[in-house]
Amino acid sequence: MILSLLFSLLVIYVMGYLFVSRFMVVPVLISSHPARDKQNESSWICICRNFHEAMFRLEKCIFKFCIALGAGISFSSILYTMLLFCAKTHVHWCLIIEILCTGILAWIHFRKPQTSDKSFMQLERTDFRWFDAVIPAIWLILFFYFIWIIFRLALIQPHGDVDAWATWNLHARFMSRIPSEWENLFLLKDFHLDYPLLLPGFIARLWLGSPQDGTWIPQGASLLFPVLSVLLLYSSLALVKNRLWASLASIMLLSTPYFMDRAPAQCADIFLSYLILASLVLLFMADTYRQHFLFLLGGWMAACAAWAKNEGMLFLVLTTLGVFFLVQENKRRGNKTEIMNWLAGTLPVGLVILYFKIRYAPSNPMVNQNPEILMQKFCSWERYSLVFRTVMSTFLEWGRGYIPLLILTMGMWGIDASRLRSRYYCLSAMTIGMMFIVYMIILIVSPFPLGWHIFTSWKRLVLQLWPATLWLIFLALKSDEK
Amino acid sequence: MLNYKQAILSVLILVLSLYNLVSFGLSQHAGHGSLSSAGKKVLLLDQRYQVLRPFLAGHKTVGYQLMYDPSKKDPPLLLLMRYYLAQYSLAPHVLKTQKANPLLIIDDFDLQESSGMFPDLHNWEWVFRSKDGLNLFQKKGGAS
Repeated sequence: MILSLLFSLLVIYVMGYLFVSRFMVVPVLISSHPARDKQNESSWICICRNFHEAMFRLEKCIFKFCIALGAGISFSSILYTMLLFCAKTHVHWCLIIEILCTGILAWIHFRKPQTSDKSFMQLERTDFRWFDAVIPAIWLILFFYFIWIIFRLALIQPHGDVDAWATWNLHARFMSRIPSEWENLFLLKDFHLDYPLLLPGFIARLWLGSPQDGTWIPQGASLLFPVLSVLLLYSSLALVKNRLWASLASIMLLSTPYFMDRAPAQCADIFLSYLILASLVLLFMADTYRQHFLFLLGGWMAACAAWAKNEGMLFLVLTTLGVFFLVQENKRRGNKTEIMNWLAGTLPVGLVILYFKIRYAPSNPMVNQNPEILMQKFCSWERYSLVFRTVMSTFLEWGRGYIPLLILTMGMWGIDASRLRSRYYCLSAMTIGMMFIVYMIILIVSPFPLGWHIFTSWKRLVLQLWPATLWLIFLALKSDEK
Repeated sequence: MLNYKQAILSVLILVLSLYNLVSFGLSQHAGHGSLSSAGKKVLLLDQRYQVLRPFLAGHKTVGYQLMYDPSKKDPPLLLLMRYYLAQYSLAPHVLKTQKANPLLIIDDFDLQESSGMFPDLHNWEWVFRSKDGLNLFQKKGGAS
């Protein structure tokens, strides 16, 4: 059973890796002075150069691993869900189809090697500073301590928190126990049936090969996503910015108390935060390195965010509108390719979402409100006041003062003006900002008791955007390094 | 090289992060890795309901009524959670609490001694009975 699960995971990863390798070009290291006579370099410089090169390669591997695993998981989950939609008696073919897809991707991969994998990042560094080694070393220690904490937390709540067993794992059990009867799920009431199925699909897919729907699969999955988020934040910042900033940002993420608390909860919030971060990172890299295929991957991740939670739908809409707007605003060569790649990434998942929403999902209580009551809520100053106080208290208390500290950091370190001129950086920042604003508006017009709604959801909404916010802030900080 | 502003802020970020991580870790270690009370309750109730699954095969919907001791004054929210948990355990069978006419009914007692609590057993026969108050009834003359 364990071998079967490991084999499934391996297939999922290899499939994701081959899929990502086809489209993703991450910076490849070249020597900044290839013609230089290395014999003239001192041994110390050689050691420094080797250290930076080794770290760079490691960070690139981590980055590829994070994106590949996320892509593989989402692809596998969507494949399983599509089988449930179209051929629910044949879901056991899922592994065979995955192996076939892996084979096809491998054939394409080895038949037509990636020719666009050009080197575009130069490593200028030949010096070595104490914090080049110390800060990543601290990061590594804290990272393992973080894993230890969330591992222990996962052990003490094997079924996750209430939302996990009453929604996500419940949906997964319907999807995996008797796949031919999974539509019974929609005979229920009040079990969040409009929630998308990316996470339940993945759990159900892994449960498929095991005789019992053991709790260790959702437990393992819930540990995987926070680890992926932290690693992705670190590796992406290390590749496009520097190692110090990357270490500090990811240390802030992994030490956020609410992030640690929610990590083993087995809900989709952290998975969503990972997908939002991945999408924005890929979008930024696509623009910075002029790699249009990265738009496809970014679009795929954004659409998967919409398939992970309803909040992700807002993210998908905002980013798609943003990409369209940028294309309209700046009609230069290549923009059409950008939008085509973005759409090619979003459309397959978008169609699955559309089918689910039309065929199965009941309407969301948010959208079925009486316009008069809605207007009353819009005009209620008490509601604004309560939401404002919540935002302010989150502002001060999040991570025991992380947000004021970040503002102080931005003020003292300064903002890199070139970043603000980057089209896709601005798009990402505006998307995250807009999402915060829309979340607040949703709370103001919420059909549920406002106090209860804020209590149960506000922190989770902030958590969904927290890794992306850290990424954007640290990316914009001024850096003395080349 | 780091200037003094960058160094101070880096140290500040590191110290605060370390404090968050260690304080959170220590507060969690107080439980010594044993199951939390909520986690234990969910685990036990899940196992309790699982024994019914073989009897429910072929039934899309099953009636469910939770009968509790009023003297315990369980808050309604906890009772609702119990229904959610029963549904979670018995998926993909759908537990109907109202206006249903199923062939099987689960009576979930929150009592050690459950006899005498049933309002009417005239048309029902026992299929399964556990010592901890979980009962499965089948309508007389209904298909098994």
